[in-house]
Amino acid sequence: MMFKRISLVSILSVALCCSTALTPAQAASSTVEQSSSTFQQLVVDIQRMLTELGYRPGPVDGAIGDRTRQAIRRYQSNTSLPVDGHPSEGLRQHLRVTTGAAAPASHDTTQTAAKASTRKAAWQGQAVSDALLRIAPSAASASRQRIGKGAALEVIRRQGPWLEVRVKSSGAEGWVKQESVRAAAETASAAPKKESGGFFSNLARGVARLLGGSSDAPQNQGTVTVGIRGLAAEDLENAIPNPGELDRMEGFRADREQAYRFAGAEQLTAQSVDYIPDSASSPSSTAAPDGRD
Amino acid sequence: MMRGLQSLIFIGLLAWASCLLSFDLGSLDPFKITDLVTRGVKSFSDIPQDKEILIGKDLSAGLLGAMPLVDDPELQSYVNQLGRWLAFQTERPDLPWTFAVVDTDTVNAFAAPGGYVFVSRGLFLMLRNEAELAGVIGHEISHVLRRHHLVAIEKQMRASLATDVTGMLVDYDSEMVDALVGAGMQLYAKGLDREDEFEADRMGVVVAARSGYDAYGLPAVLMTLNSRSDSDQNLTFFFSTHPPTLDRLGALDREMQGRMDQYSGAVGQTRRFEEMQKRLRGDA
Repeated sequence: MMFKRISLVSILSVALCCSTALTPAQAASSTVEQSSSTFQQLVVDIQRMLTELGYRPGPVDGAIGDRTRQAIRRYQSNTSLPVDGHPSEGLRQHLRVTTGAAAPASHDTTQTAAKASTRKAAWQGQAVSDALLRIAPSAASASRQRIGKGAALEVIRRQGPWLEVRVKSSGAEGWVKQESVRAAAETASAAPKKESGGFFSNLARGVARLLGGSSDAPQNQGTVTVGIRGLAAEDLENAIPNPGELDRMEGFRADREQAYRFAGAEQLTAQSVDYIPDSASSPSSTAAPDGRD
Repeated sequence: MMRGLQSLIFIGLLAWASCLLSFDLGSLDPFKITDLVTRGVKSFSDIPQDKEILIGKDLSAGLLGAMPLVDDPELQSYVNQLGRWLAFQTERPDLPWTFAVVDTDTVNAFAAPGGYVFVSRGLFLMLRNEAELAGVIGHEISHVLRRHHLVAIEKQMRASLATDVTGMLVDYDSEMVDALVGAGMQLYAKGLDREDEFEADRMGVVVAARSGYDAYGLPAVLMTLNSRSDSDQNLTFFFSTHPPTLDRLGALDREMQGRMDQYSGAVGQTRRFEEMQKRLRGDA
């Protein structure tokens, strides 16, 4: 009786061991990888990377369920992608870049999966407070390491309120909240000035006419005040509504008569101008033949 | 088909709810259920104007909680007169348009539903003339005209399944206000969609031109911003909440070509603008 029970338990546990040994990421990805279903492979890759980033898509099994879809949606939302919960090749590539292009599941070195360490820094920064280096641009993401105040950082790019940085001392890469990073002192003034006047000939002419001379060189002496009364994303998120101030603001409203007097004082005359249609604007819409210009 | 069925069920539920509740809620609730049913409201984007204004008030109080008004009544009156003049040249002249210069060195501008527009002290000081200010305010007015914030907030709230957006349309109580303001503040922290910004750019230059200003004010501001270093702390927030400035300039370059030349050379600088800037800088 007793013996029987033990054997039953051991059989069960062996069975359990086998099944758990088969479910982890490596097992699934190495076995499924060779399989005919490339879609399943895609899902496995996406699930594995989502797991790595802390999005908890459920077991890495190549099957699309609610948890996987929800994890995809959360990731898409956090990274400002269109939120559709759908596993796509584009999503896999995006995840590869986010996870530092490690992509161990696929041996093909896809070109879009740029090697993280070669990406060059946009500017040099410094941590202004202790911060967590996170794997993905999300407060929900797991953290890679802690960054001490004053640590030298290379800022690679920005995504929403998050900066992707490389810690100079360790070479580790990840995401930190923007407000924890300031430009390093020596580079703040040496940052390259970008030219815009030369590019947009039409705009440059109009702007030059408006300013009565050159289109660049803003007259503002550009005292880089160290944002004493600066505003960060978090200040807005944590703002406590001030209805009294709203009352004050509404007290300054101008009526029709005041607005027309304001216009008259500088001979501002109303013109009839049509809105500019959308057609030409978005670079994605492949230059529809417009005929207007 | 599916959508039709859904809205049918939705309207049915609303009608049922209104039977149950309209007696005690009808008079005191700003969001009258019967109102919404008769007007066929299905989402924030087609909410009646009076409700839009209420939402705008709540969001504006939130924004002002993070950045108070610059304490200068003359300056505040100046932006209100300028803004109101611009708004009269648009399709929504009857909103209670309200403008403000807010006390932060951070360079940015905001709008809230119902006609609330905020320009930061930092941005005001960066401008060179009244046409540039008109371009900036024209851009913000356009966000209001197109209800960009309402649509984005609704999208955000529907995405986080925790919030009962449909319920919100029925019953705008204090809990709902909190949820909405929370979503709104997150939106201000993160910025609107790219396409909304591009649309506000191409509408903003037209609003300025309609009002008799040089149409190149807004592109001039974008060029100034583009010439500033990414590491300027007062600009980090702006850059993180807007599409790349070069993309915006590129779009305007294409869009304005041949269309706006006749509105170049209109009113640009004014003495009153220079005076206001001096006051704001503190050396009046």
